[in-house]
Amino acid sequence: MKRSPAFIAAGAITGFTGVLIAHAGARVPLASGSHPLAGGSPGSSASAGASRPAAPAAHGGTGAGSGGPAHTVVGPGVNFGYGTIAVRVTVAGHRIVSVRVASLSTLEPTSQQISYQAIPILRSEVLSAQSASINAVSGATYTSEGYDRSLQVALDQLHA
Amino acid sequence: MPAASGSRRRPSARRPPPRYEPAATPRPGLVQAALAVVGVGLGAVTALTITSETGAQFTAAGGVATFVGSLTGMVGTYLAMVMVLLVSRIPFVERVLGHDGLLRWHRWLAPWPISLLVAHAVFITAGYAQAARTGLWHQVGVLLRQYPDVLIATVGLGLMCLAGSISIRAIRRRVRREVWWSVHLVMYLALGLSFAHVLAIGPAFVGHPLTQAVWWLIWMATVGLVLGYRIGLPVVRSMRHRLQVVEVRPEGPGVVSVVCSGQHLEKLAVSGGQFFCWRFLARGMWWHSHPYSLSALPQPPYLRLTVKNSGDHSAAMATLRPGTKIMIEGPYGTFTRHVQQHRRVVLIAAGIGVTALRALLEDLPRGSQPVVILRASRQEDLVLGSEVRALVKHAHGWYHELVGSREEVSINGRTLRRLVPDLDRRDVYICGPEGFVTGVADLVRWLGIPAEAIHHEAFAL
Amino acid sequence: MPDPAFTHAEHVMGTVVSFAVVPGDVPAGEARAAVGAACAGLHRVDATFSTWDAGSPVSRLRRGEATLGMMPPEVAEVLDLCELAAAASRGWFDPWAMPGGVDPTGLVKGWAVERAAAGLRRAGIAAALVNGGGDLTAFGSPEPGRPWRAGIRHPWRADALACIVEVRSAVATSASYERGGHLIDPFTGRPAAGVASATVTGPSLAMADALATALAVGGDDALAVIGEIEGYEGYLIRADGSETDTGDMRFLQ
Repeated sequence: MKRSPAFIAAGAITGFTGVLIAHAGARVPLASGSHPLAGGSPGSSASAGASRPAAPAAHGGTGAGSGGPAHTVVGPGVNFGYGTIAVRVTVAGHRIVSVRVASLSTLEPTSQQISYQAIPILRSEVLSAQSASINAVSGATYTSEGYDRSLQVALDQLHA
Repeated sequence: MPAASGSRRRPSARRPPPRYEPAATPRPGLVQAALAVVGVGLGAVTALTITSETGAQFTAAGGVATFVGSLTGMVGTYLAMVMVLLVSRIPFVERVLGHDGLLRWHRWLAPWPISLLVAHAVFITAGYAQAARTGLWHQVGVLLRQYPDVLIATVGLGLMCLAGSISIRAIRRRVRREVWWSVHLVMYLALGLSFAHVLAIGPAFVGHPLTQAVWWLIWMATVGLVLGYRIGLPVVRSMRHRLQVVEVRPEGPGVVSVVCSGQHLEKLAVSGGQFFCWRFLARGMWWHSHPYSLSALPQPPYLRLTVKNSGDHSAAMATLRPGTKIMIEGPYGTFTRHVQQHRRVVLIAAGIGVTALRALLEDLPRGSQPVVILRASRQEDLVLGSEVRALVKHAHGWYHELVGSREEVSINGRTLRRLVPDLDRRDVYICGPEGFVTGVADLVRWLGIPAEAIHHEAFAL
Repeated sequence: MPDPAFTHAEHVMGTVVSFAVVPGDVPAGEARAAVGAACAGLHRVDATFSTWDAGSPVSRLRRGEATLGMMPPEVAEVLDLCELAAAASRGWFDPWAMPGGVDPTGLVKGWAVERAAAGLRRAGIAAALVNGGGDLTAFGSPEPGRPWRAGIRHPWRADALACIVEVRSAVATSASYERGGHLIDPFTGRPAAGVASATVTGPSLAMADALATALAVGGDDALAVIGEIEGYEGYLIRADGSETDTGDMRFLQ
C-alpha cells in the first residue's frame, strides 16, 4: 500500500511525543532521578535534602572534617527503578562527611542484585584500600583462605 | 434443483449471474488509520521505556546495558505482536493489503523482532552482570535460577528462534508444508511464555502502572483479534454455511472441478478472482488448509473451485466423496474488479490461472470490453475455455488462445501490441504460475504500463 | 600514605592476625621480638580456648570433664568478661546460650588481640595496629596528627569497603558472610538473620568483639542497647542494604 511507512511513522511520532509531553506534565520537581548527592556539592545537596525531608534528624555528632557542627538530613525517597531508596547525609560545615542508606524499599522480592545496584550509586566506586588510605580492614573473621582473598592481605604485603 | 446428471450443475455462463450481497468494498482509509494506530503504539511504548528510566539508574554500573536491554525487549515484543496481527486475517485489512501483501510484510518484518529479543536477552544479562560485578555466564545462571518467569521466557525465546529458523528459505524449502506449519504455530506459545516476566521484573514496568496498563491493553487487543478473526470467524462461517462436496468433475488432464453446496452463500460476499483457504474434512486431508480460487461466482446454493493435480493435496481432491464437509476461511485476495483503474481490461492467464480469471470475468462491470488471452501448452490443457469464450462474447470483448510450447508461442511485446492495441488504456490482470506472472508483468511494465494498472495473482504450484 | 615500618601476619586461632608496627624509638630488632612474643601469647590462647580442638581446656570444660578450678587463670578472666558483656548487652551476647556448653569464642579473639597489643605497648613501641582476622585494636598514630584508619568490609563484595572509620582503640565486626549462619540468637536459639554486617567501636576490643556479636544477632534492638553503653558505638548494615548507626560513630567516609 502506498505511503504506509508514512502513516506508521506519523503515528509513531505522535505517540512518542504524546507520552513525553504527558510525562513532563505529570512530573513533580525533585522527585525523580537526581538525588541529594549529585557531585557532592554541599549547597545543593543540603538544600535539596532539606526542602523535602522525609524525616530530618539533626544529630549533634561530630564529623571528622573541618569546620562547623555536623548535621544530618534524610533525603526524599528516590525511585531507582525497582523501588525507592532514601539517603541520610551528614554535612559538617561545607563538607559531606557521610552518606548512608536510610531506607530501601523494593517492589519485588529483593535480590542481592538490587542492593548491588543501589549502594554503589551512593558511594564513590573507588573505595579501595589504596586510594582510601586505610591501614586495616575490619570484617567478619576470615579463615586463612579468606585472608588470602581479603583486602587485609594486600595491606600486609605492602610493608612486610 | 440439482439435476441427476452433472452437466446441469455447471454454473450457467449464458446469462450474467444475479448480484447477491455485494462484496464489501475495500476501505483504504480504515487501513491507513489502523497503521497510524500501530505507529502510535510503537512510539508510545518506546517513550514509556525512556521516560521510566532515571538518571540514577542510567549512570549506575550496568545502567546503559540494562536500558538498551529494556528498550530492545519492549520494541521487539511489540513488533512480535504486529507480526501476529499481520496474519490474523482481519477482513478489512486483508481487503486492502491482500493476503499475499500481508504475508510479504510478515516475512519482511520477521528478522526484526527475533533479533531485537535476542539482543534484549544479551544486554539485560550484561547489565545485571555489570551491576553485580559477576561474570556474564554466572549471571545467566543467576537470572535463570532466581527468576522463574525469566526461565520460562528464555524457553520461549529459544522456541522462537527455533521456529523462526525453520522459516529460513533454505530450510523451508526442504520440509513439507504441514511440518513447517506445525512448527511455526509454536510462535504463539513462545510469545505467550514471555508475558509474565515482563510485568514481574521489567524495569520500565515495575512501579509504573501506566506502562503496565498499556501493555495489558496491547496484549488483550492482540489476543482478542487473533481469537476472533483467526479462529472465531472461520468457525462461525463454517457453521453458518455448512459447506459440503456435491460433485467432482474432471475438466481436463489432471484438472478437476469440485462443486460444493452450502447455506446462505449469498452472505459470502465474495468478489470474482478471490480465493478461500479450504479444509476438507476427509481422512488425510483434514489437517491441511489450502488456498484455491473460486472458478465462478457463487450460485447459491453452489460454489465451484477448479484444481490442478500438482501435489499430494490437489491430487487427493480428485478422490473427494460427495458429502464431505468443508471448512473455509476467506474470501481473500485483491485480484478483483475493485482495484480496477481504467474502464477497460485485459485478462491474461496461463494453465490453471484461468480459474481466477474465469470468476473475475464474470464479475466485471459493464463496459469492460475485456481482451482475454489464455495460454496453454496443449489444447486439452485449456480448461473452462468454452465458459470463458461465452462470457467474453457476452461482454463484447475479444478472446484469444495461445496454444503451444514455449518455443513455438510466447507472449512478447509484439504479440501484446497486436492483440491489445489500446494496452495503455486498460488494466492488466495476470494470473497463473509464478514464473509466467512475473514474466508478463515485467513485460507489461517495460511496455510503459504503470504499476497501479497491473494486477497479478501467482499460484504457487 | 601511612607507613608502618613493618607488618607481620601470623596464622593462629584459625585466622590470620596482622600486625602493623611503627616502632618509633625502639630498634627494629626489639620491635620484631616484641611481635614474636605477642604471637607466642596468641598461640597459647589458641591452645587454651579453641573449641575445635577437643583436647583443649575449654573444650573439656564444655563437655563437663573439667571444672573451672582446673582451668588456667585466663579462662576465669575471660568468663568474667563474658558475664560483664552479657549484662551490658542485656543478653544479646550470651556465651551460655550456645549449643554445646559455654562458648566464649565471641570474646576470646578480641581479648587475645587486645593482650597482644598491650604487650607491644609495654615494649615501648610508638604505634601499632593489631588486626585479629577482622577485629582490630590500635594505639598511637601511624603519622603525626593522623589516626589509624580502618575500612569496614562491604558485606556482599569482598573487594570493596562499606565505609571507613577512625580507630579509637578498637573496631570489631561481626557478620555471617565468611562462614554462613553461625550466629545464634540467644532468645530463639536459632541462627540470626536480617543483619548483613555489625561493627562496634570502643576502648576495649574484648568488649567490642562481644558487642559486635550481640549486634549481629540483635539488629536494631541491640543497637539501641549499645548506644547507651558509654564509649561504645555501633554500626549496622541490614540484609536489605540499609544502614544505621548509634550516632557518634567516627566515620571518615
